[in-house]
Amino acid sequence: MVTVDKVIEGATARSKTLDTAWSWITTVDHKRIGILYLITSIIFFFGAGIEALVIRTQLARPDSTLVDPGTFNQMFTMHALSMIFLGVMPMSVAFFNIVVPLAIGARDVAFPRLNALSYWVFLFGGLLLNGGFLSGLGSPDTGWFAYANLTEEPFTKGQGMTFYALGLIILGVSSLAGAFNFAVTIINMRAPGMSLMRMPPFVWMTLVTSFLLITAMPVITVGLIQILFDRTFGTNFFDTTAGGSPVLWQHVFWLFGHPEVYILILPAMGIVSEIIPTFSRKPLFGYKFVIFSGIVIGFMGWGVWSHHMFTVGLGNVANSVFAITTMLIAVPTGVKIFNWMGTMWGGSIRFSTPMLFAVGFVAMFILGGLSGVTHASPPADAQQQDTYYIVAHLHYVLFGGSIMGILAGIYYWFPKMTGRMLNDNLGKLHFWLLMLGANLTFFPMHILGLVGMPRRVYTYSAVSGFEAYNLLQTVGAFILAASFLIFLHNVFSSLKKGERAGADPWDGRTLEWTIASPPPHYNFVEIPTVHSREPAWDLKYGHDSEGAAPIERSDAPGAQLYNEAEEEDHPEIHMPDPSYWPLVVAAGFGIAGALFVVGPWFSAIGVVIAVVGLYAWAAEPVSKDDHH
Amino acid sequence: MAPGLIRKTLLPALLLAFLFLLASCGDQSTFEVKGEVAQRQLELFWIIFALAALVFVVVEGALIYSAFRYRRRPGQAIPKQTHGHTKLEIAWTIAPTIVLIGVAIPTLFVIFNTSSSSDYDITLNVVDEVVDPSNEVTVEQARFVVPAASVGDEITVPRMHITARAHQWWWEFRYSGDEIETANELHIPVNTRVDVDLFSDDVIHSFWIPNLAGKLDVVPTVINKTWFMASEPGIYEGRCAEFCGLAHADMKFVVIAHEWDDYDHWKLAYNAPPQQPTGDALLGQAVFLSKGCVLCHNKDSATTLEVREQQRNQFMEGNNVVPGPNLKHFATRTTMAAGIAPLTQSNLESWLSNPEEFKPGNRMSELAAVYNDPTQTMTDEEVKQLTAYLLTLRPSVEAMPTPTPDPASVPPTPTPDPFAPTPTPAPSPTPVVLPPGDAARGAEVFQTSTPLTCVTCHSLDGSVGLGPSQQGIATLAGTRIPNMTAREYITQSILDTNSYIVEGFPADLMPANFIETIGPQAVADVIEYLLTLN
Repeated sequence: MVTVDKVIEGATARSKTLDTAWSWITTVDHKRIGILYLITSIIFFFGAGIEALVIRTQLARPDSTLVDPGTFNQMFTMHALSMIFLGVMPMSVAFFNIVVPLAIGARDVAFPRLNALSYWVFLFGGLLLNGGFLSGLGSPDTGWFAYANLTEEPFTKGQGMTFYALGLIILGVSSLAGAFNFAVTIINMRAPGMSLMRMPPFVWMTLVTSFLLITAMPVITVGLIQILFDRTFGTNFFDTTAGGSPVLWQHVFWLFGHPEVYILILPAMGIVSEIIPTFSRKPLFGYKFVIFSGIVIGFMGWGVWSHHMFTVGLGNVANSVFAITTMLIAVPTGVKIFNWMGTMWGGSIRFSTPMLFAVGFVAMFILGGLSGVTHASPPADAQQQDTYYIVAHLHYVLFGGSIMGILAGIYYWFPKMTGRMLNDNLGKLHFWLLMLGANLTFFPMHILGLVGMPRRVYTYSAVSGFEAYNLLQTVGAFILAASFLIFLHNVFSSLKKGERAGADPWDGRTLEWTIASPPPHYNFVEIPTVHSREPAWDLKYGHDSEGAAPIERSDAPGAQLYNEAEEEDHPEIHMPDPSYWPLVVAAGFGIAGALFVVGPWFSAIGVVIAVVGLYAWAAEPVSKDDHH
Repeated sequence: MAPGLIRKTLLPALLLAFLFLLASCGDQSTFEVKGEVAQRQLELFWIIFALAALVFVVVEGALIYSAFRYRRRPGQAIPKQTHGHTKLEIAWTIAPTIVLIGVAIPTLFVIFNTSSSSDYDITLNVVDEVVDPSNEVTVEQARFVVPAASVGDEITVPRMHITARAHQWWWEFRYSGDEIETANELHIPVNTRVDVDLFSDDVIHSFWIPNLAGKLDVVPTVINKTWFMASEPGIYEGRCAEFCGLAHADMKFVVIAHEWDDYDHWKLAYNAPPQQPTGDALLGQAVFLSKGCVLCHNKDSATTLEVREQQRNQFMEGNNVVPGPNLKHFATRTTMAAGIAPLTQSNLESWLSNPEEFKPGNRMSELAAVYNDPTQTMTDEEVKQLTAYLLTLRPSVEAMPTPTPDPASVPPTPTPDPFAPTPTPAPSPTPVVLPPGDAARGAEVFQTSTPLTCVTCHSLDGSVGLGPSQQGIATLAGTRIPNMTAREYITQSILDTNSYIVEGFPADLMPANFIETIGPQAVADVIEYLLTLN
């Protein structure tokens, strides 16, 4: 297997470069697909970050004319869409790919080619969502939740909403394919002895998230098709002059949208639940409670959507019911936070960069959670809704939460992915600059919202009293951006000359730390048998009864595995063959979407490509030496 | 790195402390409550905030403590491998539940109290001198509501009902019976529960007056109901809070709360006829009438709901008409262009000469012919005249009371005296005697008269303009009104324009003052000319 650093060091000869590129294009290896996901989503994440900087620069001063309102509206819409659908979600999927098979002792996911399809469809969906920028036809500009009936033809002209609807429908295909794949993988492909309640917490959260995706994505797809048909084929789902209901869209959107919030945060919570025990040298405190809290959040996430609609006028009873369910969902969230602190309590905490980000996640998420409680109350929310107070809350949970959790995961698993460590000092600099920048950017938003600044306004007047907070936020945003430049520098320099990681750089507790970094493409020479929740820890320290302080074992049975740094040839291990058909099918989807903009019937060309690709995929021969 | 944790968590905590210091700045702050609903919402916020702050300090404190206390020390042995503690789990499941019950109970009370269906009485104590305006009123004021009120009494505040209609991107307010319609300025009496019905006939908006009440969305197809009350006279800023398209940021309004007696005075003045324009303003009126402004803007009375619906339908069908703000007594307003700027002559001139720059995305620059048809563009002179005319749109009665806003809540703008006395006696109709006319001169007047050219609205070739074509008028005119000759009909149509409206054309469009603008001779000439058009 050609590893990432070898790609960079060794790709000199042209033919070799082409071979390498081709091997990545046709790969069905979950680790490579995970890396593709991660790189692509980081690029989209930076795009969304640039959009954020445009917004912040425009708002730095009152009555600014840097961008016109139309451009501004595209910026905040695309910032949210990109961060959510092209940043946080695929970054989480990157970790599903990189970590889950290793952590459950599997050689790959259940459907490796479907996994490749998920990635390629994500890539084309992401490009299509950005199609307004790429084609110059104009991007979506109605906010990421695109409230009907503003999205109808008389009020929003142009192709922006077409890119919105088609981009998200296609991204939904990617999410669904990935979610089914991981649900099946986790349920069926665990190593012998790994019962459900021995699964690492991140794997559990992947399972819960997968089920949320499977159930939530169809809901939004229905709504998106309604928008698309209203605009393209003259249906009347949201046309109020023909009896359509704009509130219907809000229910459809938020019925998807609130589970979506947990789709964004549960993977990060899973990552943090892995990192805190490792760096505290203690098992996860209250494992069962943490897992069940995650499951309960997954279920309760379906019963709170109308808290996004407290000011819609649904009535006192509806508002009361959703206020109470929303407050209740804070309980399992609190339980998780207490258990993370219980894990640290009495531990031996090493503050390497991943742990800093994990603790930073907890600290920021507490604030985001508490501000969430203040708008779980409809009368208080009546003053907060649609102001910067909401913007503050959502950035504390999605930036302070999801993004910090994902960054913790990147620092934690980068050695496993690449075989090299990220520089810890640069990591710490990244962390502290990010904390400074994030709090400078997002904390003043609380105040700004409460003193009356609405969200989604392209300007504000000099006499409004909003000026100082806005300027502070803009300064914070640029500090935040600077911290990510340090991160980028760290990644590139560490890929070249980072310290060699070895199999187990963090004194890990789960299966992925028992194999080489990066792992051979078949992952495990021999599928391990699992006897506890923390098989790697047991190999090193023995499985002791509750409460006893373990002593390091010199005869740790896993020790010889660590020496296996170089890939050995194991012809007896059968791995799936590479395939380019997933790329062809995904390209068909992308072409169908792009041509829809030209004219709905042109999409047929893309559909034909996709169908041909699917048949060819089905008919693809298995390799000759297959004896299974 | 542990000391850094202090910075990380203390920074927000310190900023939180600033919240208390800074909360009182800004006119539209939700902390500057001036009425019942906002008051209850703020009290609830403080309850939740206090509980949340307590939890924040305890939990972040414990997090920081464990980060310090349990950081790894050199040579430290592997810690005890504890897996959990069931009693602790139960405890920290129950503890947040109790806190949340503390949030939920007051929440439920306030939901029902601040909703439109609440009907509890709000009472005020009648006192000599008001100390707390939120529940006290002077005896003089009280007597406007309860004539027999005396100090020590408790009076119940009266209620009134209004309708707010949100449009892209301005606000229309209608008072009971639809007799009064204002745009972007909502006049209310203080200490009166104002019930509001919210309508939209385009997209979703949200009605929000931070000082007085939290927001409620304005949803097409649904009539949402809310209420609010102002306990002090003043000018309060309101705005649309739900993203509603290009000019969403510029969709504001002001609420002007008057003392009870002042409010009655305002209503009287609203119903007074407008002043008569003279000089530049008279020329401006001609611009107003000839440039199609009247297709969207009414200036004489409340726009009927039928007209509003027609305008909406026109817009939905892609025509260049849309519901536009009513301009009745426009010159008495404090702000313009949906509350985004103080109403001054220079602001009005820049708005009229380039509305797109003044308020990007607005419907007027998108749809009005003067802004998108190069042949119709207004000259600078016309803009000045139109401005002068609009600034005369004020009631012709004397001594309107000025609202007495709390200086702290007034937008820092030079508010023009909205009801400055410029009394003009209503013109008494006098019979007009026209000189003999000449058809040839009349033909020239018809094509070239200033400021208004007849042919701008009335074609000679049968094509439809703002007014009916004059093709064949000499024949047609005799058939329009029974027992009226062609000459009589044409004369009456020019001098008393609203006496007969040809079907399919709007009333109030054609000026009624040609005797003053072009003179009796020219009028007589045009009549002679028209009588030649067989």
